[in-house]
Amino acid sequence: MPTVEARKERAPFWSSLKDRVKGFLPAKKDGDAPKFKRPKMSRMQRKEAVAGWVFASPLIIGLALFTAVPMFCSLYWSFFHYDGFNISPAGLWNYVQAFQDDEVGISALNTLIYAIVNVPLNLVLSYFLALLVNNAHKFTRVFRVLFYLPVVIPAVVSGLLWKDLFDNTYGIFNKILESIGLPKATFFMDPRTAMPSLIFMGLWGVGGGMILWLSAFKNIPKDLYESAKVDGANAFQRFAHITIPMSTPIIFFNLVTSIIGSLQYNGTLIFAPREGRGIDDSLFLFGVKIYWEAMRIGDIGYASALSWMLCIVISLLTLLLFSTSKWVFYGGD
Amino acid sequence: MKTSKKAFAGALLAAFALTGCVIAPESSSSTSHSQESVEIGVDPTTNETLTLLIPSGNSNEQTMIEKANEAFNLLYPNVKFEINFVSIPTYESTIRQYNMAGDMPDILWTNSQEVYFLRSLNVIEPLNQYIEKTEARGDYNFEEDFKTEFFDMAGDNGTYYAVPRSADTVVCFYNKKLLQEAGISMDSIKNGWSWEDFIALCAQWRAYADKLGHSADWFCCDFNFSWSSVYYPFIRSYGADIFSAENTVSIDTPEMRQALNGMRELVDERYCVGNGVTSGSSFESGTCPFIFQSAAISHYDEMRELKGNIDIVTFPFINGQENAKIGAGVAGYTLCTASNKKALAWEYLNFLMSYDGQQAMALGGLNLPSIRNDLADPDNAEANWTKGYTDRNLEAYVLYDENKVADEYYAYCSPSAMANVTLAISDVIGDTLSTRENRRSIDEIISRGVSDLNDAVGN
Repeated sequence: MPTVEARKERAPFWSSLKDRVKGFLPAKKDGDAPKFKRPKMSRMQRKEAVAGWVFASPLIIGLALFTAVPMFCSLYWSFFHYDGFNISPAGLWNYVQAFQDDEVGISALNTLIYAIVNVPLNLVLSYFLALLVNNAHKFTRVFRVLFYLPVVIPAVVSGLLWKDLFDNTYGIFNKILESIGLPKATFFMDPRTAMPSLIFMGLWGVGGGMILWLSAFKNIPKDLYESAKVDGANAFQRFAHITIPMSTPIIFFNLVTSIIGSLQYNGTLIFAPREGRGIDDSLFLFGVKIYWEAMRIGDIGYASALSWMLCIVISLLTLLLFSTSKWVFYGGD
Repeated sequence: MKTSKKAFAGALLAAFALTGCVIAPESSSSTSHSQESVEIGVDPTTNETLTLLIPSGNSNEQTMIEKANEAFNLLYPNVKFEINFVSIPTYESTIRQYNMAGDMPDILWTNSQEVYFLRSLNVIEPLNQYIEKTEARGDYNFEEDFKTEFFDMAGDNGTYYAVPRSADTVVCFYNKKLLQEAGISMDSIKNGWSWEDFIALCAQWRAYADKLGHSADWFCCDFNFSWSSVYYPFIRSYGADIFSAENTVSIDTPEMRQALNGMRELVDERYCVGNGVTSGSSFESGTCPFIFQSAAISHYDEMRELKGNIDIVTFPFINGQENAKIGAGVAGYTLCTASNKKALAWEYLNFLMSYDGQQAMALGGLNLPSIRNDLADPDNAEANWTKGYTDRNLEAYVLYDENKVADEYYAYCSPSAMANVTLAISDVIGDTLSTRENRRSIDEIISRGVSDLNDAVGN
């Protein structure tokens, strides 16, 4: 049986952390029992602490109720056969079932295609859009507002709007095509054109990325450009050697959030035919599959398992991105 | 690092251990549950609140229920009502959420399709005992006083689960003004008319619309083929069905081919709008002279574009009266198993079936035939449901009961299969009505349909 001291030697980090937390005192190296003496808080400090908790509590309660509790519920349900009425143990059945379900394969492939095309396209376009509106011109502000406006429109509204824009008969895109003598496009009504239409539609949100790029550009010290100019660097060289390296933290942030957003996307529910699955399942994304299982089939246990599988994939991808993020330049590095 | 390696190894070990723990779901073939003896009769002074779930987006349903509630309060003045709303497309998930929250309403609205879902999950009470005890109390003679075939449509081998609020039947609404303007004679439009009569009028309307330059945006009829109360009787009229009596998928038949070809012809002739095509033509906007619907006549007649120009006629007979089917179904109310006020909830349902209840709902906009035989006759001057429309052909709602059919094919599937069965059938119908250049042949559609339906029901 190892002694207390021996255990502490094995786990110096945990014991020192425990001591620090308990006593608000500096960590002790040897086995002396820490003297717990909570420093007395002044009235002002107490007031500040209370105010801090009051301000933070809506967020903490909100996160606990609407994020943590549903997460734990779904983890629990994922090990059960649960249809909202009857519940019985399933072990890993729901997880194993996912590997035998053809629809999981179809939706995973569709999601992968969507993410592979959508993420870089959005990153690059929002980057160049930001570059365009970064320089001070007469109408720069107007363009910034115009490009950002779609982002503030609720997803449901924009989904319905795009449904109308892509309408085969009365949609404005087909009217434009007709007016210039081109044949009508089928958009979401043909499996061959559905995914390209969805990706095109995704460009509607590039204004969100643009704003982040602009904030990154504003944080690049001007003297770097001035020094480069003095040294004879042309516009492209300044872009390649100053703008891009200095905005890598935002590139990284946009990359991570875009990948997560693309993998979780289920917006087709609003506008695509066949309850969001698209003709011949051409728009059947993984997020739609989870919705379909939970809300239409009523297999809440299976939908929970799929959600956790998606969560694991996203976590692994995020870890991979972080582990390969040496190219990100954080100013003081 | 060592610790994290150990944790990872532990997690792997746990995962391997758990893989041995894979428990398949139990078969849900038996869904019936035994019912204890029920109590009826409530003190008229009882002070309770009944919760009701009714469909949203249907102002008629709300006003008729409010009228019924007012009339019920004359008998039970202290009973209060809490009305909750459900969107029909998300009906099943809403019911699940109520159950998960342990807050199921006392009375649930249902239709012919959803009643399968409710009863197979034991969400609703069988009503036979309640009906028998009420009959014994002397309220009515069930077999003689009611149109029991509508109770059967929401039943299962003689077990009743819902009280239909009205006797809903699909009829053909037509716009007299439009047909007159087109110079189309309405002589053939009479109860019991044939599909051929109907198609002849469609052809005349097509020629008229083409002449006016509306070749692509005016259509003849809002067929409502996405609605099971239209497509199901349509295919049944050709002798086809979706599932056989042996519980197998039965759409791969010459009869089904004939039915689907008949449907496709309607699109090719431009009588019917193609799937996924926005026509801009609708019965409501007064640019399409026919629609197949089961709505109350007041629903359309109160629309500004249509006021005073609407009448109804029976759904045209396809393949002769002996083969023809007419869509019918139940929209009604059920008693929730989880209710702790079952006796009161039953008195409410019983009131909806009563003379006073039916009359009160009709005043709230329920201009559909009553489920009571004493009120169902359109010539009954006392029946409120006919008030204001006695000059119309209301008989169309109540004729040919022997030809009426509800979408009974859901009886063959479990609740978890219903969504996929619906999707598979709507794919068959949608592909048939497609106007795409590279649309599938009927054989291809049937072959895919068989596969999808088999997947859906787990064959």
